[in-house]
Amino acid sequence: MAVVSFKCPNCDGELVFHPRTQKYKCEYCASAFSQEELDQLLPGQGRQIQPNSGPQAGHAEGRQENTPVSERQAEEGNIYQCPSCGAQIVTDDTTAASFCYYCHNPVVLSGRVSGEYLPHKIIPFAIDKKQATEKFLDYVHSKKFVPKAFFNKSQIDKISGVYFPYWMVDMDMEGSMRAEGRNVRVWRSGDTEYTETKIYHVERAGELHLEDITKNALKKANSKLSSGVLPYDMARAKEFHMGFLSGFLAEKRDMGQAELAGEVRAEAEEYGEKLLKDTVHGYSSLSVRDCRLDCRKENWEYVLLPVWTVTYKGRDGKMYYYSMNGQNGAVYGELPIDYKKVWMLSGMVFLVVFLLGLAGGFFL
Amino acid sequence: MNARSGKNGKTPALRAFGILRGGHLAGWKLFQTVFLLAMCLLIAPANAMAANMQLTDQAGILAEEDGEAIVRQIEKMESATGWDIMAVTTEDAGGMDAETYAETWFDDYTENDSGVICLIDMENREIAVKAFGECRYYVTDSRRDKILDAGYEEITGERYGQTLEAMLAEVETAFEEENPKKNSLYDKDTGKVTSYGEERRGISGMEMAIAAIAALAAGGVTAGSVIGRYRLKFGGCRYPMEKNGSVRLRAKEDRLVSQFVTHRHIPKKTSTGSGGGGGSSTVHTGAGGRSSSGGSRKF
Repeated sequence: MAVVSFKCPNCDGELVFHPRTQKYKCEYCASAFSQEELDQLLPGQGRQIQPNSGPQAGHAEGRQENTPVSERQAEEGNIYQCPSCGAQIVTDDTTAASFCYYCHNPVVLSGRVSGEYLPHKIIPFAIDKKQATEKFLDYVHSKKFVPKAFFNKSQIDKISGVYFPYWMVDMDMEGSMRAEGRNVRVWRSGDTEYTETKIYHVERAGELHLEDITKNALKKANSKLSSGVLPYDMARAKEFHMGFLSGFLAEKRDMGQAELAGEVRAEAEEYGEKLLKDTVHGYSSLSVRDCRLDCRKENWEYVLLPVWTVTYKGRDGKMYYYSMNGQNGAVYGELPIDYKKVWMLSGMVFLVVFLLGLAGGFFL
Repeated sequence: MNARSGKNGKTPALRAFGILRGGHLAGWKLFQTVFLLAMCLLIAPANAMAANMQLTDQAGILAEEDGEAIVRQIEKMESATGWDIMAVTTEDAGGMDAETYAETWFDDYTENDSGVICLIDMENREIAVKAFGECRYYVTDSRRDKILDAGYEEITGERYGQTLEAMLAEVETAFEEENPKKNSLYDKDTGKVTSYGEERRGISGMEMAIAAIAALAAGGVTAGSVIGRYRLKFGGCRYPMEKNGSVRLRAKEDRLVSQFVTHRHIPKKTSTGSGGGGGSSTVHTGAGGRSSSGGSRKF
């Protein structure tokens, strides 16, 4: 498997994807290249192939590749050679992009984002690390019940930009629903109250379409944190290119369609029934008697979505984990609670409601 | 000698109206009565010292069975209403008119805020009904007239027991039919009109308990909502179905399959004798400082 490192065509320094400009930036000469510019560069300009590169080396533009050190190492798992300094890079089974531990050179493990693991789409990071830090601090400081001065910049243990793997499913279904609708009308005449009940047979049938049902495709990911940052604006998704991973961490999927199919269909059926119910109007109540949904077409897309993961060591010694949508900055994660403030608020609510209740009792 | 049947310390001796009929007690019986009364006063709590007298036939015009019937009627009414109900006859009003005498009597023999007294004043040849406290909202001007009408019809036939019974029955009807919240008081001395809500403002134990339960629930929901959100117990991502879901209907049917009408009788909450708009009670403040409604009629 090849290790890809993106190099500056001008100075041979490493290129990383810059979220603010959406261009590749050289950390050394400050050159910036768009994807198109980098693609148009002639071979030899902006790429370097190491002499010890394997047979796969050299077929990608603007990047430098290396094969694993040996088969034995590969079997032991995930030891690669840094194309920049030659040091060993040890990764997890699912790591698709990382950094050299010694020279901090960003590397992409091309074999983990190619073939069956080639993502269909990617949403590139739109928020850089500095913005992510600011947004995270803004978020936690906006929370009224977090202990005072609990969060500060220096206490942020680690903030990493990670492309997480997700499955996005579009589904066409054929659906039919039979339900009972009721309309109740009440009126009075003299001392008698009349209740008129009309019962309707309601039937709906049609084609349903659901887009972007998103499921986490990484077993080790915290499901709450990975789903808490959804949704993303998929209109801004791009065709996958390895270069987007440069300068970030990335994980490849280890959950296939078969593993998630049942869950996705159950979710789709729930949404489908709701969609059909939403087409019924004008009844006091609606009871669904029967709902059939048959999947006619499924389209699964493997996508990499940008997530900033924040590890924060709290003053209470506890580690707090947060995820932030790398596209819009939405933060999700468990927050520490200043219980004194919570009880004070509840006490105030209690007092206000109690006094209002007494006032109601007094005046009414 | 007064003939009285007391509410508090309801001893057989006091209730046995026949024994206590005014002007006919033997010396021994008088001694017994005084002794028992003294014992009751000693035993009874201080606030019962001025307890009301349910029936006092000072004029001695009531037959024994009438007296017993009136006491039973009063006891029934008192347990239903919580008011002090008194029936009094007198042949010496002490120079007072019937209304003033009734007010003075009520002041002297009750510490309860609410009550009704029905009086036959043989000296002034007058019957009177006076209502105090909450009862004023029940004994409206129209009710007063009905009570006096009922009493007048009987007293003109010199049926004194039936006079009080008829008056008390009308008071009972007023309690059952009037909606005090719709009624108001008109103070003829000051011209001030007071509604039930204005005067009866207060907080009952039940209201306080309901307010406390509602406040506890609100406080609990507030704390639970904050803790739940911070601990990620709820919230999080919701599939944007409005944006990502669509349906193209091929069949749409809404067919009426059955229809039925049920009905129920609505029990009347109240039917005021003084009309749906609420009645008015003309009140005035007596010598004792207590406001009362009601009135009197000569016979």
